[in-house]
Amino acid sequence: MSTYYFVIVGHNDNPIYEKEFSTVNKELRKEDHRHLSQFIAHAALDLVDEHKWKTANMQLKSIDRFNQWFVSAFITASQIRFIIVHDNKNDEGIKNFFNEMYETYIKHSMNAFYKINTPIKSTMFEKKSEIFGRKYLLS
Amino acid sequence: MRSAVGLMLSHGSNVESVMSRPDYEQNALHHSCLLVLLRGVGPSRARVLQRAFEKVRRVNQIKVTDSSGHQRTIWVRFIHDHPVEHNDWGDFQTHRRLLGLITIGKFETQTELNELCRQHESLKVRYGSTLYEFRAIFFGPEEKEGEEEGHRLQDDYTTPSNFKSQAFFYREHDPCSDLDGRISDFVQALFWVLESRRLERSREKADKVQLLLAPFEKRDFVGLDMESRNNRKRCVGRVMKNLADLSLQAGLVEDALTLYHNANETLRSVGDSLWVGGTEEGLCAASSVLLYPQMREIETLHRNASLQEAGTSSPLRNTPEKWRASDATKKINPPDMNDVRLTSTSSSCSSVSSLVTNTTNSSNSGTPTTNSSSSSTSTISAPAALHATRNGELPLNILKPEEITNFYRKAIINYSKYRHAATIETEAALKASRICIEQNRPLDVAVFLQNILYINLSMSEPERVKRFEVITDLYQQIGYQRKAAFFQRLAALKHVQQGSQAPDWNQSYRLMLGSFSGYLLSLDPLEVLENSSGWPALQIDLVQSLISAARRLGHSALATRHMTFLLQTQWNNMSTTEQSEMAVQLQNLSAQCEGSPVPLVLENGTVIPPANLTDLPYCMDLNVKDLAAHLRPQRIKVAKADSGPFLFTPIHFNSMDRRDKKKDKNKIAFLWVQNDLSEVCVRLRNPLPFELTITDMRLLTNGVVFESIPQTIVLQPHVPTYVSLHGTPIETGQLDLQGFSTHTLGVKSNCRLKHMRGRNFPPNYLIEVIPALPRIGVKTSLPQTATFSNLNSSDIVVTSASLTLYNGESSSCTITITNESSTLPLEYLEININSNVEQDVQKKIFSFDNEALQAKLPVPPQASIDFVLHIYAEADFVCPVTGPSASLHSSCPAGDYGPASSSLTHYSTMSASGHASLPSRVGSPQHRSHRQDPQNSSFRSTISGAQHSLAHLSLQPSGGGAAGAGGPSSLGSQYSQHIEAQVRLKYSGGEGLTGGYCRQCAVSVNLELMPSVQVTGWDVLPAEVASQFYLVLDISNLTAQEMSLNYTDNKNILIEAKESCRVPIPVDRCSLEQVCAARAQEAAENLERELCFRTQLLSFNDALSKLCSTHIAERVKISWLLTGTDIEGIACLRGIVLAQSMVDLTTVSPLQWDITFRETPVQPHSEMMCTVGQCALLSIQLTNKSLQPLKNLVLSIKFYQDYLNGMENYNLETRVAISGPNRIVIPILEREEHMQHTCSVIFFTPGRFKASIECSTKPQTQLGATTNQIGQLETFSASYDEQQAHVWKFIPPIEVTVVEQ
Repeated sequence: MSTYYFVIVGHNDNPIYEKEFSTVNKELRKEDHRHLSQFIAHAALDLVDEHKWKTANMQLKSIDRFNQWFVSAFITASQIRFIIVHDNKNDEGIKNFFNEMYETYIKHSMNAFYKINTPIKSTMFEKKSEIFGRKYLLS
Repeated sequence: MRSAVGLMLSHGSNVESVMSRPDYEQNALHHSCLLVLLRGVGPSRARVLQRAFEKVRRVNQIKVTDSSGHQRTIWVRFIHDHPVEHNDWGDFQTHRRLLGLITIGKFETQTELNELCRQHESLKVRYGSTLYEFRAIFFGPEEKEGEEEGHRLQDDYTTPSNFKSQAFFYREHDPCSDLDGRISDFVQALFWVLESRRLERSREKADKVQLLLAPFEKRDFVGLDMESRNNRKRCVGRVMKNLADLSLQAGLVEDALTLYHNANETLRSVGDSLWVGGTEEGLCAASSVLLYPQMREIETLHRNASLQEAGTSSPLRNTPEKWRASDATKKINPPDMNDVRLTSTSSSCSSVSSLVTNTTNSSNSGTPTTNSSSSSTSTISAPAALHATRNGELPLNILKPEEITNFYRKAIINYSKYRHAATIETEAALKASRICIEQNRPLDVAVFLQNILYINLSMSEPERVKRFEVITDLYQQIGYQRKAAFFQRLAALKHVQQGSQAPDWNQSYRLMLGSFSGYLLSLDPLEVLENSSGWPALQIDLVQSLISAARRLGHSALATRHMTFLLQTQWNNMSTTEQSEMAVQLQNLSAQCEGSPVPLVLENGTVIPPANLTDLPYCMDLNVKDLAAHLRPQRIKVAKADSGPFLFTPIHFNSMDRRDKKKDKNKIAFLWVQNDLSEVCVRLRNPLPFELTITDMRLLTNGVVFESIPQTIVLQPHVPTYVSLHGTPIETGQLDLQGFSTHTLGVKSNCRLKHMRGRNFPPNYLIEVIPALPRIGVKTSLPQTATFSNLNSSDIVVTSASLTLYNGESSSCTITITNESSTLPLEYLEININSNVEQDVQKKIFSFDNEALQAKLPVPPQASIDFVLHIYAEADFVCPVTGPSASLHSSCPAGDYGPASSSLTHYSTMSASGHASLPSRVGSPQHRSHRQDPQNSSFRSTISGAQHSLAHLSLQPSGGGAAGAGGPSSLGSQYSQHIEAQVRLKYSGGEGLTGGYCRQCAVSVNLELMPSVQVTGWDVLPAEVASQFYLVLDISNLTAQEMSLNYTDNKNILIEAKESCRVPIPVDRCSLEQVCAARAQEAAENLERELCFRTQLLSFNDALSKLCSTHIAERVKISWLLTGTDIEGIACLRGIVLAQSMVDLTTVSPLQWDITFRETPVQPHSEMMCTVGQCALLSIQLTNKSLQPLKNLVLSIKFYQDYLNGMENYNLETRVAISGPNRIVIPILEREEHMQHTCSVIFFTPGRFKASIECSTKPQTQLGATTNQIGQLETFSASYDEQQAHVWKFIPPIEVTVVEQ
């Protein structure tokens, strides 16, 4: 019974990739929940931006929470923000997931046809995130 | 009074041991303030009393000199509202106690005054347990006229007897100059009471002190042994804490610090967590008072409504990102702080010594073991501490800035152990975060604020909302816009959440609007599109909530505006279904209130900028259209300024002008004309899946006044549609075309080009509008054509005329010009004609009287003039034949001419009787077909046989001939010809003319030229007299009607349709002078050519042939009439081509013949008689009449018999003999030289004989090169005769009738 909302946020606070992972197959209020996750992730950006200068790590760990939701973040070298809104502690899994996604993201951004800060619409990326999500977050 | 009790009761029912309403505005420094309730009473006329409120509030600090002569600063905190239960916490934290009460009220009558007093009293009762002092301020009616000066208000109105408070009376507009002093007195009074309480507390014996309790603790201590050691310590600790609070309020900060430290240790030892927390918070408060005095400034300014201008308020508040005046600076410059906080008495005491004493005192007091010691400490610590402060040094036991956070954290942890202290905890967290803001530690702020949310506090929904708002505010202060926005939105949602009894949509709307910046939204759609940042899904959600809030508020205009904003800014972030849904929603919203592009101003002064649907419909392109071609203004051409001898020069004298034009890329190249309807073509696409109706679509312009014509269109989904927008410029000058305005989905939008993104539009178009020009209407007297011409610039054609003419026919066309403009005269008119034929031919076809036309100008408005265009159907009547047998003639024996001539003469006499005798071989249809089929010609020439000597066979394909046929006109006359011409009218008038502009329109004239007559063949025959020759023409009637042909002055011939006939026309010969002139000219030309190293020389023949051709064309005019109609015309023979032999006949012979037969001169057509066997003397004298000598002449005499059936017999050896040579060679015949030859002729048989006497020359080249060269050397012009073979005959041939003897 854990849900993860993963989002990659560009430089203009614009989401460039969104993905939800959940052990619950049939979410009754999926849409509602997703919306709230988005709001929480957005609100956490202030703290991400604050924390990113305070540490040399890309992993920013759990930086914010709202009610039962935690916000974990990761910052890339190019200041792209990875954020996961989750409702149970899974620091190790999230850390691994971020690392794998970072690599995937770097590979994707190497694509000459991909413009930084624009939404990622790659089936490969989608597939990878699906795999890593299942491997590190839901297991 | 009864109502006051009721009020109390109602409040009483709410009283609980727990404070349910946290005071969100509190900060750490409020611990040191005296709490005063400042209330407006009476009917709600508080607004007029605003000034009094402000005046009172401004007195928030007074300086008091205490009994020991030290000055203390006392701060006051004025509040509006104070829940009574907060007073219950007064023992825990004394600053929560309400100490003073000021009411301000306004009255008009005694009754009203009584009511004010009653309310004041009831407040007094409510807070009676804690109040030290109270004042009432009354504003009475204005002084009535007639009353003496200085009449006091309280003389007229008296307070009720039970009113015991001190009251101040003022007139309504009294400046209240003494109010400040009175309030100061009031505060002073408060201070002294407080000071006495403090002293009382400080003198309490440690073993006598009673336990101070927080409200909820009362039950906990019931039945406990108060005398236990732990509890004694607890009591002492708590009292010490209480004393510290009082000291802090009484301005003894250092004392307070020491006491807090002591109390903290004492209480910690007994594990009294709540009160430990209290002391910790107290420490923080006392430290903050010293470290961050500026927080008070902010407070003061913040409270003061009149001083809310951005300039005066602390910049720190508005710029949280900037590094604030840090605690470090505080330490470095302590005097600064003291200047603000304390009016230093400039004591010159040694700070070191005082510090030492202070420390020792503190350390003493730090270990309070006994009651006496603690009390003594408290009594002595105060002056010592004061001493230290005065030296401008911070006490050593003050908390360091970073410690403050830790102490707050500890305090909060301690508070959190008590469920009932949640309010205290919340307030502490808020105070802590405010301190952290001051310290510029946003992460700590975030931690404290986050903690607030997890404090389990049972509170009402409005309080919860309030909490969110406070959190929002604090996040905003540290620049966490996104966090702030999150909580602002939460607050907004809480305001209107389901189940809420009184949803406050107004607040909700305000908060949501406030959270715009956090989501990177701006109220201005342009800005949003420009930035294109943020989280679209959240933005859409926010705007949608905003729309529903506005709708619930009943602000349809706002709802429409926000919906428009949503569509405009988030169009690309929505799916197509969402787009159409939103569009439908907008339509529904705008049904209640139409949207228009004007800013909306909210009640709180927020301006909602207009939102325009610039891309609905989506403008794909926009074309400024030129005027219709016939209305397009042109420059009236003026002679160009002489720019020197160079075609190109890099120096531009008007270069400034030119460069300017290049710079304006959005400048339109063409012109619009004032008062003329102009057009802009827009291609629109409807991106919605349903039909989109756009009403009132107009052009948006700046600059000159422009009258735009609204247009209504319906766009089908996704189909690009062209729409023409029209308008009329009213003034002249530059028109700035900005875009267009639409009214769609119930929203008016100004769609400017510069706001249309991603289409590379220029920001505007600049169009020059020139002064008004007149317009004309043109009509012709001829019927219009069905098809328009395909000549150049056919677009300027306004009307057309068509006319069918037979070749050679003349007609005319009346063109009427009407000045259609209502005000402008037509002052300038220039007409020229353009056509698809050569210029000189065109001149022959069309002509008009320009001068007469110009005389009719100017044409007043609405008047008209007309002029006549004469049209002549010019055509080539001579058939331009290029037959294969053309060279035939040159090889023809010269002698052929005699019989041919006679037969022709015979024929011409018969011709009057009809054409039945005409040989069918010249029938025109056959002839025509023959020309098209060259193979046929050989066939035909065999038919015609030897006697066929007509010109169509003898035509020379020489250069001159070809030029004659193809030169001036290529018009054939066999087929109907189409001539397209444009009569172009350039016209202008009024101001446009002064501006140098005109318009051009054209009348297209379609001329069909039908073949009428055609000369299919021709020849030249010698006439009966030497001065003339016969031009024999084969003339075909190509019309379908019978034609009467008048070929000489008095001779007519009728030709059936499609038939032809042969007519002889006597023509005067071309005189020798002309020949000479032509020759001289040609010689000159040749010379010139030679000089220019042109290899090809003109032969004289060309010139002469041309001369003869024009000679004939000038003299011969054949007029024809179609019988039964009045169609008549004239055919001319221009372009006729003559062979060399014809030329000789056409020109006057250079040889003059003087022939005598039997001593009698031979007359033309005279009959000469002779008898057989008789010798007749034939004498021939030749005279050279030409200008040149003739060389190499051969004179030959031949007799023959003409059988008059086409046969001529030259074999007359048996019938006639000539004595002497019949061939005489004359080497040279000089000019005017005579040559005489005489011979005798004897006829052997009777009969009719004819004599052909001719003189021929041979080209000299055949004779020898030497003489030729000599001849050429002598005179160049003489070369003519040597180069050409000529035959000159004596005509008519001599006829001799020989009779028997």
